[in-house]
Amino acid sequence: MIEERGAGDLSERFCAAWEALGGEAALAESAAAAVAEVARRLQEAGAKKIVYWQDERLEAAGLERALGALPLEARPWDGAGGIAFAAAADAGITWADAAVAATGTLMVAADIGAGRSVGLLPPWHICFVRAEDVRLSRSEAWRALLARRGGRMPSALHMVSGPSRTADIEMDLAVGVHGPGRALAVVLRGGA
Amino acid sequence: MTRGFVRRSLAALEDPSLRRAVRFATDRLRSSKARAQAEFGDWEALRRRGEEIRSRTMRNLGRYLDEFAEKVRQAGGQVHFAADAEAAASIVRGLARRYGVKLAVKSKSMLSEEIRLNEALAADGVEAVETDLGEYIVQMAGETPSHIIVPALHKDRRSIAALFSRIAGEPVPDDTPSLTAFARGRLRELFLQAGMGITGCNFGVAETGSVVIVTNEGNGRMVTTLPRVQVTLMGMERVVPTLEDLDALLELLPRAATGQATTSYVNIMTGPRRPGEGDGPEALHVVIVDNGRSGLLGGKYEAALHCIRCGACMNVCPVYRQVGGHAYGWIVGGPIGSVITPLFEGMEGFGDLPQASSLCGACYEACPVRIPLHDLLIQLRADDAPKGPSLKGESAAFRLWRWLMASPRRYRLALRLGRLAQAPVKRGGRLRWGPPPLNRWLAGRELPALPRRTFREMWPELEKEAPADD
Repeated sequence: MIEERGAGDLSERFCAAWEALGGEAALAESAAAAVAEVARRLQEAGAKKIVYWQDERLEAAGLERALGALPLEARPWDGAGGIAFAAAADAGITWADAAVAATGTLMVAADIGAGRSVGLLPPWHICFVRAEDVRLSRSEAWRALLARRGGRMPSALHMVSGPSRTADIEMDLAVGVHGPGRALAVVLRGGA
Repeated sequence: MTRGFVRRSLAALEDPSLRRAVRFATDRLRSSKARAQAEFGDWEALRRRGEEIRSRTMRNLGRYLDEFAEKVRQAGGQVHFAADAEAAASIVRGLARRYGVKLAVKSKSMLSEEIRLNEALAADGVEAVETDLGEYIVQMAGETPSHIIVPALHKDRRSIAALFSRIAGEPVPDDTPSLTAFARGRLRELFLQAGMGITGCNFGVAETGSVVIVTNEGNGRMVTTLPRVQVTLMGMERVVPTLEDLDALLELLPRAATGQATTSYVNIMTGPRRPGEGDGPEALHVVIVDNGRSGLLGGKYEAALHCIRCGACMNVCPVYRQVGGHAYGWIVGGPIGSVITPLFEGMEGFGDLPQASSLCGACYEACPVRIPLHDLLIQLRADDAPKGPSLKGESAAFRLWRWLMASPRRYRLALRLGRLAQAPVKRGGRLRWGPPPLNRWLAGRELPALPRRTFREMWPELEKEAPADD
């Protein structure tokens, strides 16, 4: 299921960089395994409220079904009315169009059904990305993202590298000051 | 000429906890940057690329700004041009009135300080709250930022805890997680209530019409996700031609600022929210501000516009490291502040800032886009020079100096007289006292005494030992 870390490929490099920034990473061999891993971690953390993108990739991975089996309240992002719920949620689940292995960066694009609030307001951001969408550099990842979107930039592209952080008080690092303090990246290998 | 810098820096020099904090923070930032540069590899090539991008942008600034504005409009945003600070502030005031805004939340914007936006909005009864943790601390304390990356660098945790306890009406512990959690809770409410989000702009991409904001805390995302209206303040020199150019500058900025390969968040925003999207601003206004910048284009100070506001020059500056940011008297301190403050705010009030440099060139070495800061400082001194010497008797002293130096005989005589004169105040090879104005200098420093024999006096013997030329 969740495989041992070997040497080398871009997914592993991404995970190492993401973890070095204080994020958590999981490599999964299938969409089903990825969703099961997320469900396990949500349960372990005692999460009560979950908000997630209305996204065909999350749907195809069977996220809704997996969350439905858990003792928690899970709601898809449904626009402006969902802000209050997202602000009260324990975790928000999104999907990155691309990732940068060199810096440990997820490229999270806003869209219909894909609210900016979901990966921002809850204290825990969980984000899926396909292994084939992990590129070495930022510019390669941009190209992949723009190709998928017909060359048009999304209204908001958030390049996310680990949890929210600050060192404004005596240069002492603290996470979760405005954005999520906990950030989980789930990399899907072998198609979704 | 005012001696404002000297007065302000004396206050800083007499504050040991400030000096400790400044030294600690700048040491940390500097060593992180050095590590990040080494890890990157060919940092020098990247710096040259950064310099090339910035100077190409300035050469064609009009064209790139037109392209940027056009692309912002195509994406559904609105663009306003402001000639000066007053015009910029009044555009934002007008927008606040138009949208009925009473509370605005702000992510970090040095430009908003430059145009005194908070005061302007307050005059209309609009409250503008800073949400970057450091800026929030500084605003609540009624102070101003002392470093562009670490605004509250001059404040220690005890004073921050005291400040937060006063706001909370109950004790807030002084550990970092408690202080951070307090600010998070407090500001979260404001993000949800505010009618307007005001942001700065690290870069504006001409090719796509995107506004780019680089942050670690995520407050830049909050102010562009929750309020109905987004106002982005952009200095006209912030434009970047293409995404490819942006990529290079995004390699440089975080490494130079904090030693990070990337910040936690880089937000690229292209227009307001689109039909069907549930959050993000319904309206996006980009206010492009000149306020003295265009006057530098094509002139000898154009390179000052290349600055990407990383703060690296401050962290290495032997002057900034002693006195901190407030001594500079304006919103940007350190070497770049000593250059742009007199250029933007006038030589009358700030003509002494270019003197606050040893011209060691550490700032140039640190600058990720290779701005020759030391050259600009010398140029500013030269421009200021026709107004006459800053100290009484300075020109007489230099006339005497020239007279002595112009003749080997007089120079030798002066050395001999100097040796006689120093005898009563010389101890252990050092001078312990000197006549004014030397006494002020000696109060904090040592000056080696003239040697018993100078090199010139030894030369006749040395010459005999030297091997003869072929």
